Amino acid sequence: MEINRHKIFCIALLIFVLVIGVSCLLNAIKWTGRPYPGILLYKNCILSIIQPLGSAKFGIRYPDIILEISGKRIKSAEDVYEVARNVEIGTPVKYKIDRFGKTFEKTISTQSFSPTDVFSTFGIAYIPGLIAIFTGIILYWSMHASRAARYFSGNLITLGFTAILLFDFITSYSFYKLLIIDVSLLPAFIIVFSLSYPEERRVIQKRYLFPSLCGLSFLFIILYFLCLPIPWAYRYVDLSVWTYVAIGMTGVIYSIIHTLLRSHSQEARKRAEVAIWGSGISMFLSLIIILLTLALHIQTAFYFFPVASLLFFASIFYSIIKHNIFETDPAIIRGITYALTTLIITVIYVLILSTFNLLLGRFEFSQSPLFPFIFALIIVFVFSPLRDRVRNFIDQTLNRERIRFREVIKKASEEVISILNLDDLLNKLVNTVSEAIQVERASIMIADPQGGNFSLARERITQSIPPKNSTIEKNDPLLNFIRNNKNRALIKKEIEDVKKYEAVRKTMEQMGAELCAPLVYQDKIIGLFNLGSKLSGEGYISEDIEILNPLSKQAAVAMENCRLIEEQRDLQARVIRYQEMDKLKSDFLSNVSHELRTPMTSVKAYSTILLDEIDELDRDNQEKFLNIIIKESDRLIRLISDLLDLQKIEAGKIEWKYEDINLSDLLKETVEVFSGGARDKKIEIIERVEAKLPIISGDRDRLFQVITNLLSNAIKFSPEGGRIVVSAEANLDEILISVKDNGRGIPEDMRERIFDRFQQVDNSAWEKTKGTGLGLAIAKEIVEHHKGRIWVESELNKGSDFKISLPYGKR
Amino acid sequence: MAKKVLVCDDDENILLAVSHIVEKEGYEVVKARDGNESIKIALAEKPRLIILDLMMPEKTGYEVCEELRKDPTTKDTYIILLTARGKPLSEHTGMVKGANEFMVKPFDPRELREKIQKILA
Repeated sequence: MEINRHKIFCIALLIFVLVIGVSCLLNAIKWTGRPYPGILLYKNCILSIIQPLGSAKFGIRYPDIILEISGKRIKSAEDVYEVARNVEIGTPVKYKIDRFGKTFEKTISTQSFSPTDVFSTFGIAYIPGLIAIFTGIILYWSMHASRAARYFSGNLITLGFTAILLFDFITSYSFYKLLIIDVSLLPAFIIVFSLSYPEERRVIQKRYLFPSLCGLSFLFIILYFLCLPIPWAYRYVDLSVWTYVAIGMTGVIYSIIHTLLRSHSQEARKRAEVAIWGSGISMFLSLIIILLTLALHIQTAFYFFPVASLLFFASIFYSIIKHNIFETDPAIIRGITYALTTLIITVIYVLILSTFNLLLGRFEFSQSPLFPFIFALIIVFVFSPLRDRVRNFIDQTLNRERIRFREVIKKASEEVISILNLDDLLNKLVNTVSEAIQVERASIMIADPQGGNFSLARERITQSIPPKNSTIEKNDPLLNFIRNNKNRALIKKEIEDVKKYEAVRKTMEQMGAELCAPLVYQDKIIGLFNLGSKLSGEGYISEDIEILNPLSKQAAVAMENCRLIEEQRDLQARVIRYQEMDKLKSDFLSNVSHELRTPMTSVKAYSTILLDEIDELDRDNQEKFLNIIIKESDRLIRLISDLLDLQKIEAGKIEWKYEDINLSDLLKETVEVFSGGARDKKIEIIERVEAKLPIISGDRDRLFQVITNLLSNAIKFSPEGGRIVVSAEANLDEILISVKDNGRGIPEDMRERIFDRFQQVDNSAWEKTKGTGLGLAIAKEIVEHHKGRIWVESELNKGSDFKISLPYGKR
Repeated sequence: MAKKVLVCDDDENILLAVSHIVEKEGYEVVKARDGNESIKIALAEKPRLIILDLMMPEKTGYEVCEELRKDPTTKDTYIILLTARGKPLSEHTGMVKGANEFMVKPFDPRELREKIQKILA
């Protein structure tokens, strides 16, 4: 624990509080039962009569000023007390009163402050005051970095002091000067508080705001002390200060109403709701009390007045705990505990003192002497169990949900590890947490294994809120922050006021995240789990992080598993593809071998036969055999040439000669070439080529090769008397060429395979053709080189339509 | 009765060449152009020797071999397998299926002639 100026300040304040607090209490007890002017004074300005209803009887009221008491001129309250305290209780004392210039005389008997009065004020003013101060100090100690926490604790401390000093004011009037200072400071804190509650207004970030408000307060303090000797002046100073306080209080009410009606933040509205309820009830109660006391003259009702006002503060308090501006629960609970503990110790001390007095006969209390004793005893016995009960109650109401939440998350973390599909995993995570916490938005971002940047993988949003930013870089300030913070999850509130983390906060805002939990595997962040605001308006606290931790861990492991399994599947798929390709290659080689050897067999066989039977063969056979040799040699030549062609095209070693081609001419030419052969087979070739096809850029010879191949196939596979239609037309961005025959058609499973090498429609029902089997493969390569497509549409026994699409306009 | 030789190949030229060589040796040739035909004719004509191409439509040479070996009438017929696809796996498979010999295309007609003489002598 580093000792810095904040902590030193806290310790100093604590000591101050203890001194003042204990003194107040001791003084109050000392003056119980002692004679009192019966008037609540402020300087020599009358505030009220101690028993307020009596003011009507006495005929004096605020802001009358006492000029003389029993003939003596007075300047301050001390003068009054000096006289009043030295007479018996009930002695009438003569006062000379000034009321805005008019003077008159009044006789009032001294009163005594009964123990009941002391203790009722004690309960209502002193104890809450002490609690508030302790809470404020603890809050400041633990959260001095947060601006809202600083202002709130300042508020608590000044309010607390006001309460304690009011207690003193009413009882022993020893510290009224402190009260002046405190009351002057109060509005500064109240105003700043109204600007940060129920939600922060932007003006509060202006650095001049708080110092200038404090400056105003100090001005009033100075005025006060200056006007001390001037009775009529400080009345106005007094008025101004209380107006200042009233403005502050109004500011709070206004802020609450404004938030309720206009705010965009669910959280802030919820807080405002609670505060409004509190104010409403407290105002209602106050009205009833006033009614009861004034109209129905029920005195005791008045004692509940402070309760009504306490309700207002309590509701603000409650809304802050429940709908966290920051983590106040621990501070408040500890504050209450410590305050009460201090009290007890003081009381016990007082008791011991009183017992001694009792024993030694210096009987001070005028009324039931056992009262404070019994009261203190009750406190001592009831305190511990009471404290535990209160603790339990708070735990149950605030934490019941948390316990359920914890269980749901625990169960989910056990289930998550066995999910092997990434989609399912993400869904489960997002849905489980959304339902357990009821958030506005829950999303998961995953790091790209290669790039390292995080992109949105799954998002679930409730209500009509817009989806958010979907990528962050791997070196985003948010990620760096998390990494530097041992990969702990981050709640946006924690860094809200810290200037150097502005960029981090911005990223979180872009993602709509109030809480960012990293998914860490082997010390690396592989994903981010982002939660938006809770629908209930509550904020996130560190316990939430603690509960979500096991889930994040398991989720990270599960995600890794999913990734590995997918990788494995990918690998397997690739292996299979390689195996298939390998097989294709082997098949190809095997095919090539076969196709080369077959014609060679004829050449070798017939040449050998011719040689061996050179004298025996007849002329016919000689011619026949020699022709076969020539034909098969030609076949071999064609095959080798095609093979080499294919290899060259694939290897990219072909020299393509680009020129502008008029496809209409090309097609007509090709048809011409085959017309003779077609006529021999009694096949009709019909040409339906658009006259003005767009010019395309390509290799003329190669395209000629393609069309030739298609046409020769068509003729090969057409029956006698068949019909072939060659057509071409231009579409929006392509030229469509079609060579259609009415031959036997191609079975469905072959329609793609025929463009592979050495695939021929191979079936005993079909004539074995003497093609090389490479023609279509080469055609496909050529067409695809021109960025086109080639395919066939066919119906068995009806015919085949070979189509080529060639784009024009671009290469 | 002249000894019959069954020649099976789907390539007409090769079929003709082999047939010519066999006939020159004085044996009668029956031809088949696909697998099923080969089996049918083999069972019908019961040749002394079968020269069998591997790559044929309908059934391959292996399958023809296998089937003929199942039939008692042809299970001892001498079978020479001819193929344009390479050794040695084909040879091994061929032997497993029950062929007697294996020849690779292009074959040497003189070699074939010698074999025929030896087998049918």
